[in-house]
Amino acid sequence: MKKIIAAIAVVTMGLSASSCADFLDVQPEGNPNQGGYFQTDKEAEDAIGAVYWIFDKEETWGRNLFWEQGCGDDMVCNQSRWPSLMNFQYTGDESPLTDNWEKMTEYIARANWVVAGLKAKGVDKLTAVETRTLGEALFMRAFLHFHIAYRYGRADNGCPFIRYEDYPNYTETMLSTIPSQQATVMDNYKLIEDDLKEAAGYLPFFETYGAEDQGRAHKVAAWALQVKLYAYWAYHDKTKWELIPDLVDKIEKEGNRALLGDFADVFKMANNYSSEYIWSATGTGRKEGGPRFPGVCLVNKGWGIFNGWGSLKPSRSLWEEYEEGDTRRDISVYSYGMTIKYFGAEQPFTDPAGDKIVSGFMFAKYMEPYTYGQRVLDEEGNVDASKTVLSKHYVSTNGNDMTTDLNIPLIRFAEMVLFKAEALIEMGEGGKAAIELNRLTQRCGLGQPYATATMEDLMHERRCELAGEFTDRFMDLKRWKQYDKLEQQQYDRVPVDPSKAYDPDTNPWAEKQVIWPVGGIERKFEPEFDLVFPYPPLEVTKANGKLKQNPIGN
Amino acid sequence: MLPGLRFNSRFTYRNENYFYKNFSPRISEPGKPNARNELSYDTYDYYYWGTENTLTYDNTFGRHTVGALISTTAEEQRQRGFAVKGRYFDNEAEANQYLSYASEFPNPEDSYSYPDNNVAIVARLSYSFDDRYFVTASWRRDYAGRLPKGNKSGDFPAVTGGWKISSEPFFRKNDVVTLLKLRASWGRVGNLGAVPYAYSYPVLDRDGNGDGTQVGGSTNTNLMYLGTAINPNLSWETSEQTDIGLDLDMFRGRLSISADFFMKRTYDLIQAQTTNWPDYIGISAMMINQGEIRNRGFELGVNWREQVNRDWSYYVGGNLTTLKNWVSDIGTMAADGGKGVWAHSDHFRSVLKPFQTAEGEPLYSYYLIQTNGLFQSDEEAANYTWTDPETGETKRIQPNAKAGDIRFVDWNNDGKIDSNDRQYMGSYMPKLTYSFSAGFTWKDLSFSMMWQGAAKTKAFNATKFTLLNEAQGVFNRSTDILKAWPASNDVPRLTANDANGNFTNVSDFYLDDASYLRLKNVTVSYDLTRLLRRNAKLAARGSSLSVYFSGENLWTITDYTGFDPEVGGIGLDAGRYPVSRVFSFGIKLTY
Repeated sequence: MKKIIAAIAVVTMGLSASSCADFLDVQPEGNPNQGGYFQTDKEAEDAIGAVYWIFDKEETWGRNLFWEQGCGDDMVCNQSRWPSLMNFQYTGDESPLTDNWEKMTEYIARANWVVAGLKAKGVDKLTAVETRTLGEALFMRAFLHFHIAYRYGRADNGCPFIRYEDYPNYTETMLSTIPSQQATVMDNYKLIEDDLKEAAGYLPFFETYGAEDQGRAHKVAAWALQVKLYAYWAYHDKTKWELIPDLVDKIEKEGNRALLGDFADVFKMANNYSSEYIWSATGTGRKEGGPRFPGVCLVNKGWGIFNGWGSLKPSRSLWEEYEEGDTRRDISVYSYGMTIKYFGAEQPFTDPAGDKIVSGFMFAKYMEPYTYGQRVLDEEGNVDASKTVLSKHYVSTNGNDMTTDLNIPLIRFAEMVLFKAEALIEMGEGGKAAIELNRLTQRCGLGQPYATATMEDLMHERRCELAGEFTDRFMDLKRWKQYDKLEQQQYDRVPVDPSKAYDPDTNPWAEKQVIWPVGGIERKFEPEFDLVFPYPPLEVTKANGKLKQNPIGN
Repeated sequence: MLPGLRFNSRFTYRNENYFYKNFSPRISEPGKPNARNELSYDTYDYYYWGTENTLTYDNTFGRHTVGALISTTAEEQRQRGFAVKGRYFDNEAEANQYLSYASEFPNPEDSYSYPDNNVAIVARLSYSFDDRYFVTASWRRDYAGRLPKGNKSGDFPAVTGGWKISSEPFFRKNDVVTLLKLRASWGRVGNLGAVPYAYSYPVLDRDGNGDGTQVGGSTNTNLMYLGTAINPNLSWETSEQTDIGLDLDMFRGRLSISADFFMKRTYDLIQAQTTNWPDYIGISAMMINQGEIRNRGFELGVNWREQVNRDWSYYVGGNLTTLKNWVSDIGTMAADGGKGVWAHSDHFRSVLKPFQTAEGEPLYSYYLIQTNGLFQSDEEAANYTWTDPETGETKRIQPNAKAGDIRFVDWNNDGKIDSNDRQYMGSYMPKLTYSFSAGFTWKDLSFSMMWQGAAKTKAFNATKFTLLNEAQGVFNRSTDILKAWPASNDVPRLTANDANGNFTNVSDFYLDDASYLRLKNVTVSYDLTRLLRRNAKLAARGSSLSVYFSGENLWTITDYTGFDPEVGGIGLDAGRYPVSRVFSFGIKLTY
């Protein structure tokens, strides 16, 4: 008996020693290996889907990218959380900046992986879907790189960027390599231009997309981003203006893009993919896809029915920029005195009195989905918020992720018209520029007022046309060197009792108050330091000498 | 076979089955409704098995005692599961809470978690002579399934020795000192820290949650991307500890004292890379072995226990530990050739990032701007100036400061307050922890209490950022905000936009003394066994019964301004929920 026990002991211990290697080889399940991907069309679509996912993120086009507009003159951030940002005293550590820096660089890496993975197969061996995916990835890489470059890059200090496809064994060598910093932002712009030209070669025209592919990057989107790139590049190199007019013509003629006849039609769900569409962040309300930006613009607590955040408060100077009779004003900005359609009923506009900053306005371009539906009442006659929201499917039912079926335009044809006009003015052709500006004014009730256009006219038209969109008014003021506009105080326009609607007899206008800056601070914009943001300081530390910080002022 | 030779085999098997069905109804909360109801099912199956086989030999030859042991262990665990959801039910009645009544189905998800296999072999030899000299040596080899090939094994030897001086022939037996023993030990232990399961296989990551991206009309939740770089050289982190100790029993065992001096060196630390891995690489930081940390300290325990007479006994005891912690090798070099740092991104609301580790400083040191009180007047703030040595120009160091704002120290003397003025200010690890307990028993009644405390520790009370800061949106405020300047000098003045950066500058305004003394436990119990054993049958069985009443965390003495001084972790207090005071009543019955 003892001998048997001894034998079992020896055998058991021997067994565990010999099959050790296999036993210890623990493999994961359910996720594909890093090597050997990009074999099928579905894999390519899954990979580019992971790049488009950035539009869902609150850190970027969901909300945080818009906080910077508090530095401009169109709006003030509710809650004034980052006074250093809005008073041009940025350290680079402000969380809107660090958050979207982190996301954009992460998704540039994702786009890089798709580009390199598909190119490694051999460009001529790709299927039609894979070729399109390569174009989409190049476009997205350029798009995100562009947003880093123009916000952080200087003529004497460029931004970090690498292309995975330049390194044959990138999975072994590149993944832990710090992207090198370009010497000047013009080098970044050149790399973006190369990516866009290449992307345009692979991408099809938008008209070839069926309903299941609408929303993907397409050829004209690449051309349009080039226009924007040249306009910003022109700040450093004026010759770039010359490239714009022809490219815009090409977008119009070969790309089949055109302005809609009435400005009121632009921000409608039915026109998500109209002739004016070039590039948008797609949204689907019920399925909670896309940015929550519409809910961010809606006033705080949405008059008791929907979870609006009211984070952005347009300022009086924006409202006063519009001329009388400009239909764009009441479509872009809601104000006291207006009654709007909201979940099927008439809602007099009020800006919540309990907010930290009350301006009397709200960005309204994304409100069309909220006009439908009907108020559902409960037994006591109060509005049943959840059933009201459910009554129409255009709006997300999740109060924390307020997406809608309306796409958020990021580039539309009207902006191309404006860039063409700006280029013509810069090249001394005010007459031709006037023709372009008149195309915009004639669809918003102003006729054709321009005979010859100046930069003043262009700045006015651009502000009125693009208010509340992700076209970066702050950048416009910086590149036009409108420093006094940046430094001016912002005012409100509210009645005596902001919690009630305006009424000329019982609730007339109050004296205008300064809503920003508060506390007696004077904002000073110093172009030498404030034209671009400083890099996040923690990144400079971690990069251990490879990232040269931008000069920081006071 | 051989006398003294024994074989022992153990096998454990654990299986867990989880099935969760949850229905969340519509919520009509005005202003923040959730109009979507959802049924979710979550299920998984988990198993674990472990086996241990041990062969031991023990024998005594005259005054020599020897022992030998060899043991192997192996273990495995897996968990597989999936989750399914259904949304938009018209009727929320319980009879309808099933998937067939839902109208929309987000994509289901499956999961495969915690796969792990490990093997270990231990060998040990022990020898003692005449109950006076003791020595033990052991060798442990661990194989970790999750580490990359070629790096799975780690060797961890240990040796201990003891000398019972009180058993020596030259040590006369007396009543004062009954035991005097000297101990020394050295050993290594392996640690895998946060290495993920099945680490060695580079796989892609999936994004999309339940909602996915929208392109066209379709939802894709299978978004694949490359998010992790695998380090094929990752291996064990090792802790090596040396200890010298003394045990002393005196006065017929009534007094016992134990003293230890320890030195611990942890090397090849497993951590996510920070130096040379900025976020803009775009991939999660790689795990690496880097750095060496040392801990050194002293432990003392003293206990007195006395049985005074048949009815009455009592005890009193306490212990204390001192600890010094520092990084002895940071493991990286800065670009200028000097020592690198580990820049930690632990943060509060993405604004305050107070931690950085440097060589010679404790791990997770606070790296903060120094403050120097509040400005008492606007002139004082205006007179806080700096003169540029090159241009001779004088300007204000804090241009937006007014009376009641914090004065920050311009450490590097460059005329402005920024991250270059930050200094290392120690870490959270308490330099001294202690506890003492006392109790007595009188006839059938017993009483005991235990106190515990920590001293020389500071916590970063990040909650001040929202609780004391009027510039921070829609949060509740602490009553301490009533102390805002000029009511006191503890809290800066109320502002709507904090232009001076009182709260956004990461400074020692947030650093508070977190030392405390806490009455951890008081227990009173009454033994009812005598009463119970009046019943002959229960007495024959040897039954016993006692009742007790105890309280935990009854009283805390501390100056800490946050909710609870036992912040824990690295000392970042983001509103850590305070420990509860607990009262319990119990009965202990053996039948």
